[in-house]
Amino acid sequence: MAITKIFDIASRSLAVYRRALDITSHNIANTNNPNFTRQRIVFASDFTDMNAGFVWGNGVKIADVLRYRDNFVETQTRIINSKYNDNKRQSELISNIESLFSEPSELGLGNLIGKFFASFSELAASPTSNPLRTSVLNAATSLASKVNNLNISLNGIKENIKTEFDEKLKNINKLLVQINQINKDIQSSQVKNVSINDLLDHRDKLLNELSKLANINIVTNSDNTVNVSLGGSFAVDAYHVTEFESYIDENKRIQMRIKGGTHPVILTDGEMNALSNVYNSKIPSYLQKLDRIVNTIVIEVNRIHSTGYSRTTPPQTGLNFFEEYKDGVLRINQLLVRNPNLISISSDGTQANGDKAIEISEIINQRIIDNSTIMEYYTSLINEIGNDGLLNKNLTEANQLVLEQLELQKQINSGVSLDEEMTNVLQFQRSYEASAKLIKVSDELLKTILELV
Amino acid sequence: MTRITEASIASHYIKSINSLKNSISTIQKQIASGNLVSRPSDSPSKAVILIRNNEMLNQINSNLNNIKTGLSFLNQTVFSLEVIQSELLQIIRKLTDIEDPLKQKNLNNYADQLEQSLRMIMDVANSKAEGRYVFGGTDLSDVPFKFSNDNQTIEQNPLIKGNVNVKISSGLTQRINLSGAEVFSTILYSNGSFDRNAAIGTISTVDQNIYDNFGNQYTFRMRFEKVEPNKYSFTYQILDSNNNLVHSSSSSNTLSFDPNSGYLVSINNKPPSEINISVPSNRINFYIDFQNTTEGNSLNFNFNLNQQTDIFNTLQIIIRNLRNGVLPTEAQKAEVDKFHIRVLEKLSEVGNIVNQFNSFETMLNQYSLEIQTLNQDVVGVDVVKSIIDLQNKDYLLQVTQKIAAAILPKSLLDYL
Repeated sequence: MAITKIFDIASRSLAVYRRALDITSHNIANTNNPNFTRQRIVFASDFTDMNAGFVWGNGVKIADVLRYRDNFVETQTRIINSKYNDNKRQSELISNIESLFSEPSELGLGNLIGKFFASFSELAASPTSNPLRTSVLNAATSLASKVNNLNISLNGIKENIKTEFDEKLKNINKLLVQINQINKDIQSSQVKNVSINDLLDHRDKLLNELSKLANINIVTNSDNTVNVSLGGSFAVDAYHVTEFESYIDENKRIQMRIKGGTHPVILTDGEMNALSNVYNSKIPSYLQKLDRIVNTIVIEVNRIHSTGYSRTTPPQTGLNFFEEYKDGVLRINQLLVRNPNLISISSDGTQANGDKAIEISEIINQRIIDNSTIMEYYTSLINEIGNDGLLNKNLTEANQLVLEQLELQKQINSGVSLDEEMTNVLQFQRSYEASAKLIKVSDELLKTILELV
Repeated sequence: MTRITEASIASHYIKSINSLKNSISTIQKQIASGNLVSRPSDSPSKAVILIRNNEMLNQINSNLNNIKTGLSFLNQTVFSLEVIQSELLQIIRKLTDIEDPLKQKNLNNYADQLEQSLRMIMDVANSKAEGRYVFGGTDLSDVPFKFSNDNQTIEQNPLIKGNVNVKISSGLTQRINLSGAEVFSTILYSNGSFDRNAAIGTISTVDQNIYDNFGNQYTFRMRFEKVEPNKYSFTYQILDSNNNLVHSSSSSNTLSFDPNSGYLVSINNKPPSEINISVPSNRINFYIDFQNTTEGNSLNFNFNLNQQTDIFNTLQIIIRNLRNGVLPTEAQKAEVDKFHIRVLEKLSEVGNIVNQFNSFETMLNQYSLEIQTLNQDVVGVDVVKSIIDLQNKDYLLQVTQKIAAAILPKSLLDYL
């Protein structure tokens, strides 16, 4: 072997360890980057020569720069991430809805319903009392105001959800375009033999973001590109990208579909599912139950009130207490508001009779909605809202724990350990120094030979 | 061996700190509100219990208010009846005094004293409580009792009947008044029965003596015709002592009975109540009460007049007679005694209602206390325990922060 070959081996070694130090510093620089996957250098001995019957080594080379990555953990992370964000967003939305009902408190609808019927009971004891008549109207106004606010606020939440749904859909479309672009970049980088590790990291980050929004399915191809489907519909690969749009179907449900398509995307997880579930299922269910309660109150109170006599001269009968409950608006009969003496609680037209008020106050104890009292039905609604909130809160916490475990797993495999990297720095530095020393030794050898001449 | 990276250690500390801060925030919120449940999702079952208990408290408070209103009115009724009863005792004593021949020289003086008593009783009978006549029933249109224009008799507002009912518990009501009709008025009670087997169109008539405010006798002729199964029309005529018609009903009243129980369910499609019969020109005013009338397997009329003339006109007749030198008759004195007994009975009746209200008030207050205690047991905050928890969490937070501050930046880098 020629002495000059030692130069070759040593200089190649220097280049390899400088490159190794580059990779290590890249790892160290990304210590706090949560989307970064640590990279590992795979060293290999360079091709050997056969000369004079001997095998001659050619030193070291970098065989590959690998990402430390566990596919199972990545896949699980995305699945749980979808579920976690679904439960988390639902929990937040239901928490907002809970706040609207103000239960359990003095301002809750339950208390206002109770106070409304109690005001009739107290009016019966003093049917001629103007303050108590006004008190009935005040209780009715508070009840109507709460009912109307609940309807406005619940429908307001639906409107906000629709806006958020559209915004998040735009995000999905943007993410899909970016994933498509990275797929293309990966293909071209591989052709140019350029490292794709950082592109893969970036794409993983985008896929994680996408999994927060909706349930996705990912297939990795042999050329490292991915095909992604979203809710059963094709979304993106290296060649095509789908654009999605939102729409309200004939049942007033918010849906998403491929732009120009007819079939809805089947959402099962992610924030988009949370939004559509609360919009399509939870809020309509709560509103339907609220409507049932209010309609029952209106019908029953009017049924009794219209048979009573007012405290006017002459006494009037046939008056409704509530004008109507329509489109989420409860209206009190304005004639009564203007003249409280028109509140018709006398059963025989005499002024001090309040028997109809007692009958009205008893409505609250009657089993008139699905064999339940108004309060039992109302508390079942609150129980439903509470359980929906609690379930999503618990599922969020459970999924968060799983995510934390997966994150730990990911950190164990892919996270950067400064101790480890600094050890590598020392190792590579020593190897680099050794290679330099080798050049010096070769130089002295060559010098010795030259001095002989 | 597991690789532990700086990021995982940092993440672990941050999660621990967040978790501790969340706990501290929750405990602080609970201590501040005094309530473990601030929203349904904190505990749906406890929230439901709390809402239902609060609704029960609402009803209890409302019933307690009703009882308070009722007791105030009842106490005024008791006071009025006691004054009347006291005045009646004096009247009875004076009527007994008059029997003494030595005292019969001063009949005008006795007439004056009785007139004072009469006016006193009238004043009390017309008294008001909470803007309503104590004995006005459910009517407020006119004063219950007043002198006629010629001052000869006392006229009665024919509408002073009806109960003012209040709710004192779920599904339970109690009246808080005695109507003027039941205390003072002449009432013809019917305790008999109609024959449910009688054919449609069967007519029955009954005669009953009634009296005007001067004590003159009339015949009250009642006519009942079966018009439908379980339904009877009622009409009447009033005839004077010479059998001349002085008044007849302008329309018929329809009495309806329950086909199964036989009880009276309505009069003219309204809940049964006394029917007032008033003939101002003849100073006749009385009620007929069918509420204890039934429909049975045979016809059995049984009518009973509670008094001939009311206490006011009875006293007025006595006073007029005394001024004319005529002593009260035994029948007139018996009428006064009978009214005195009725007042005592009514006092006892009102006393029973007052006692019932007092019992319910005690019971409802106790019930309210129990529900409030239950609410505390279910959602109340144990402040001592919460504060100890809070201190514990705060201590853990400080330790975690201290350790994190000491350990997090350390790595091999620090020693190179």
